[in-house]
Amino acid sequence: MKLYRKRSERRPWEENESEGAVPWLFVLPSLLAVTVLVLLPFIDVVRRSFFSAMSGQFVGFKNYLTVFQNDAFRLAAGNTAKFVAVCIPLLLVFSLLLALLVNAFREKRGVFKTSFLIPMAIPVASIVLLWKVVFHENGLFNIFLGWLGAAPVDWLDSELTFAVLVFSYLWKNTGYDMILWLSGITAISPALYESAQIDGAGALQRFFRITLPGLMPTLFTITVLSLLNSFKVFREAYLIGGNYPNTSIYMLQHLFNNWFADLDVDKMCAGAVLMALVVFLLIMLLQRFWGREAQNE
Amino acid sequence: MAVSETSVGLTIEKVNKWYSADSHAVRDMDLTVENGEFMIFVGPSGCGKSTLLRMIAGLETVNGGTIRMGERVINKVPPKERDIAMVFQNYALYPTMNVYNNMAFPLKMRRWKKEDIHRRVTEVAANLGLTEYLKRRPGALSGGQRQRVALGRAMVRQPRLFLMDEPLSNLDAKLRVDMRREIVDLQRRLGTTTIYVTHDQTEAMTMGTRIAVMKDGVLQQVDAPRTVYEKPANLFVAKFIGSPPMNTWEGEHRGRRCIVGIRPEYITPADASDPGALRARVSGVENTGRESMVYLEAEGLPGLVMAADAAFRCGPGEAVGIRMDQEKFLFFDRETELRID
Repeated sequence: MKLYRKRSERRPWEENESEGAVPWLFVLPSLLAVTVLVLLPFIDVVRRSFFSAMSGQFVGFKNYLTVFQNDAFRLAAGNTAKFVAVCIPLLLVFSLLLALLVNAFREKRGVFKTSFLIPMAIPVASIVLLWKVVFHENGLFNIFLGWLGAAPVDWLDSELTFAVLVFSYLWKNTGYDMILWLSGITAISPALYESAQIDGAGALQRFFRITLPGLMPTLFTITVLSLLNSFKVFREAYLIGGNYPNTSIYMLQHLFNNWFADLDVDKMCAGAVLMALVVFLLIMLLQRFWGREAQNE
Repeated sequence: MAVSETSVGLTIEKVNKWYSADSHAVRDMDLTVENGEFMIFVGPSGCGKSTLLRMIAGLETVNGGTIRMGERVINKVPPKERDIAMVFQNYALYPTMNVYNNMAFPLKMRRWKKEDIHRRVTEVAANLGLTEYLKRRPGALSGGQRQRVALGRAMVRQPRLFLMDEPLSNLDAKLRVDMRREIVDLQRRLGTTTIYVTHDQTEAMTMGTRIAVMKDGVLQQVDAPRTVYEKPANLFVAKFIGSPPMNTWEGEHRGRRCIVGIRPEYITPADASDPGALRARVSGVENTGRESMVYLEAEGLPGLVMAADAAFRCGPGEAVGIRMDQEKFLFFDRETELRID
């Protein structure tokens, strides 16, 4: 859509000169907020990433080099990448299966939709308390494992803490993603399934040839949203392990937090720019992939 | 008429369908569709014609009675094993596949070899004038082209039965007339038993070898279009088939009170001097160029419609003389509404 047309292109009946400004007027409030709260600070962050925080001198890419050589950064970036790589496929598949299951219920669908959304509404702080009760070394989960004859595990401070974090993320986001999948599923015309049935397609063929291709646009939205949500899991990680949790869940945000506390603003800015770049590239890549997908078929 | 080798006839016996206790969509339906026949199901919305078609397709369960394809009872046979092809009202083309893949889909599902699929799809596409669109997706096609793709997808296989659920209702008037002829030609060439659902009585009259008129889930009459038109089984059929509908009023026949009906084309203008002429006042005229529909008011009769020659000139408010062809009167029982011979 073209928001603005040159004067010469205007039709004679379009007398109103201010018409071109109207769309901008609608965008203005949110544009203003985004500019003041996100864009300008981010530009400042980019600027700071090239200066020394102590002396205020221009240092070129030195901050970036320091960040790359920093063990804590490597650990945090690695953990974050691992978390994203493990969680998103799991979440996508799990929530899709759940959505298909809920979709199969015709009458009680509403009840399921709401109940699976409840985790979204519970504040992180209170749910982490529950996780502590469940996953503590003397907690409920270990008692349960004890009945099965297994030795207790320190879920909250060991290599396995990563699993707890993954679980926590899945628990919180599955319902939300399921709703997104459901909206995609209901958008597929039922006549397509009937037609496919008559054309000789079985249940699996209908799923792979109609449902899945029909859900491709939804998949893009869900992947991007889940990717962005996965960075929010810091709250759980922080509440479980504090500033310096088990190394398996030491996330980028822990690092930023600690750099901030240590006034390492220059390193923090460089790290933030890097992260923003990676996320931006990831989303662009996804979009390209989907754009091609849409043309190919 | 050549009958396709794969085609079969269809027997429907005492078929019933309930959606809920108080919604009886199809009642005690008895109908035989001959092998190779072009059968039309026609009736107003909600008469059960689509439900019946969907039961034949296997998309709805049958609550009572049997449906047989050839000799085989198919009540519980899943749609994919019935070997039928269906054209849907909204075409139901697969939006993520291009035209080629849409048409190839039924063949792929039946594990045809790739080269056979290619040969068959290109052949059918050429037949329907779709060759240049094979790479396009349905979203990039016009309504008429989508309609053709839907037909093509049904035709690639030689099914035992074609089912069409109001396939022309989404097309504009001119295209509808063209496609009507094309479908009739196609059916005649292929010789496959076809069941065609429509609410359009022109399609019903012009396309089928026989038409089945339905109302409230009950079959009213099955016969050749001309017979249904000339000898409607009851008042409903008389008024539903034919446009504008038959004129009816309460009258007398052989000393018995009944409903009298006459088709608009059997009312003709008459001179005032004609002794048998009836005096009427014109209340409106619709001239289509080919003929004139004249709406009349005559004493003792409800509003009448006369289909007169386009050359017949008159205006609202004018008094005219009309003549009814008594030979063409039809009489219906007042209680049962059945036609009296």
